[in-house]
Amino acid sequence: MTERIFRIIIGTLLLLGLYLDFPAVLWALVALLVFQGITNWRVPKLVSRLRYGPTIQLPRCCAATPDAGKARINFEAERALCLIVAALLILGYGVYNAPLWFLPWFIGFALTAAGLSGICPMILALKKLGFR
Amino acid sequence: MKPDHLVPHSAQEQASLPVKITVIVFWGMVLVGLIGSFVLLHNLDQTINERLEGAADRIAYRVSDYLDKHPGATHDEIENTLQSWVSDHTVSGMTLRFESIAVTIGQTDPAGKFIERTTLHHRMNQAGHALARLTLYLPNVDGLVAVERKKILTVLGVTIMVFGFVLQWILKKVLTQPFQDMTRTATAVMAGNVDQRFNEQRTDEFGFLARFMNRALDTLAQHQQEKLRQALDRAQASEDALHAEKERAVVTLHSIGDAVITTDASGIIEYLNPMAEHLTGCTAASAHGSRIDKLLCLFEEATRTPVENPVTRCLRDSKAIESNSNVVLVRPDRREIDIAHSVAPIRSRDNHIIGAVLVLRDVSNTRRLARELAHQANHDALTGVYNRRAFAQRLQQALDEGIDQSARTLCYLDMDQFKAVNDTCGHAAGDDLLCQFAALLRAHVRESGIIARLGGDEFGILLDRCDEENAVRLMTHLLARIQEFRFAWQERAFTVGASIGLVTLAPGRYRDITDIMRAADTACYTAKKSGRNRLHIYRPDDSSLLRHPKAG
Repeated sequence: MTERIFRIIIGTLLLLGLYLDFPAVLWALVALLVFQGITNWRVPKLVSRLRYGPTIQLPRCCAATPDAGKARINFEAERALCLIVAALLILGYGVYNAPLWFLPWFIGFALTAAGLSGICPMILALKKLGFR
Repeated sequence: MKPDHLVPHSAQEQASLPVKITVIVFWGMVLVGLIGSFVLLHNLDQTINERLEGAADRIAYRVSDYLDKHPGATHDEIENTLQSWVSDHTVSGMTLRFESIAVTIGQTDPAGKFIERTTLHHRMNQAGHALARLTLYLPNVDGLVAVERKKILTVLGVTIMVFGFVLQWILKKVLTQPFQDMTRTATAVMAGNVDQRFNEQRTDEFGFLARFMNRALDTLAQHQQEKLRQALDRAQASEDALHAEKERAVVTLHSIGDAVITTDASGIIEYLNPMAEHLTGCTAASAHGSRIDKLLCLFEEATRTPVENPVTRCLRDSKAIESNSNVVLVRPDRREIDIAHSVAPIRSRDNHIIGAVLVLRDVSNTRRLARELAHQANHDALTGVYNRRAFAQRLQQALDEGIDQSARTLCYLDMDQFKAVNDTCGHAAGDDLLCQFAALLRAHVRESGIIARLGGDEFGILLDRCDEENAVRLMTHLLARIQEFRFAWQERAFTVGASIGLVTLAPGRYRDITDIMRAADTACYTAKKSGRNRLHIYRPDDSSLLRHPKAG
């Protein structure tokens, strides 16, 4: 499993949960993203290692990301993305649902589009900021 | 090395165009979606409220129309009719109060939102008109808004995503793919595949660019081929000239009488000309690749000491060397050849030594002639002993070396009876007598003694490291042998004798060889005057005696 496929799955599940009004799905996704962000045990990595062995190198999700050698912050951008998405979902779905109802929908579409296109603006921005 | 601007960029950079297009298309679509969503969802609750108001008006109108057309409708008939209308319109429930009839349909929550409508109707069973009061209970607007949002967002999102994919596919076909094809072709050309050409099938600008660049590549390739052909022609001409030059050099080297050997910078033999093969006794094939030291075994002729290989010395000192002494080459078959040699380093364009060339010349004949000339110059042609000139040189050399360490003694011999033999038997007998007399001297004078014929029948002997006592003993013994000697000539026998003057070369006693020779002559004369066939040791007072003509 690649990061792109994982993004498509997460985005689609998020949109389905919103459309079908399944809060449990959304909270499960939030929990998964928080877990990934904290532990860096990312699902694509774990699944790929289980399938192909520990030496597997995952392709980068975002084709336009700059080289990792220029990173100033020793924290992976993918981890930061997980934490940011989880925080935005908590804010938009759990805390300020009425004014920020659009936020979970936007995140759902954005994740799906990033997975399909292979371009993740959030990752680009994080890398620009200096994340690894 | 290719210039920087021709070095292909990384694969990531090559993929930047499709990536940029994807970014523009997809995230442009996302932006469009956001704007569309904002426009569509803006004041959605107000729209729904207006829709509900309209629905209430339509129901009220239908109820009024129904009551007008069915003035005698019963409660059940009215309830059944209203039941179907509630399900047709977006209302939760309704209540109709008309005279004594009160009909309630669906969910009627007085605490919820409702709309009331009042209509006036004619009654058939009664004179006059009656009022009908209709209360419509509306559903939760927020819920309706949420449902509406979902529908709009889902349709908009899916539509935009599909549209984005289609747009990206179209852009890929018309822009990205031909551009990437051109990039791949350019990369292949830059990698050295000069036969690669751009696709000219397209009719758009890419096709025009492809034709233009293909023509440029063809022209470039043509120029390169022409340059290459010219370079090849020049190289061929150079090779021919070089070959001719080499042929001339080879023929010259094969023709010259000197032996020529070339080595590399480490002294490994690379070439021998035929004369070198003849001189060294090794073929070029067998010598090629071996060290020059193994091929050439040289030593000094006079001292028989080994001579350092001149090539090794030349390579070490980085300068040309010529032989300045008589050197002998020993061939593998132990044959010795007198040679003269010269070595010069071979330098590259940058003045580095890349080898050495050794020229050997067989100087055996020259050296033999020189030796013969030297022998003739220093030896008496008749007797083979040294002549007066060589004797004087040796005497001078003895004086120069000094005589303080070991004494030297000069003996001056004057043969007696020589004139008698010469006069009675002829010059031939005299010459034979001289030869036999010289042989007698050689036989009885040790090797360190130098024997010379000083003139006529006079001989000189220079005894090295021999003091006066030993010299007297030796000369006495020699005199005895001379007396025993019989010269036979044509059945006649002659006895010969000798008068010997002996001079000890003590340090500081004599100024030069003239003094010495005069003293020796005087001593010899004294011996002869004293009765011949005797030895006289020179004393300083002998000098008072004058030299008289020889008695014979």
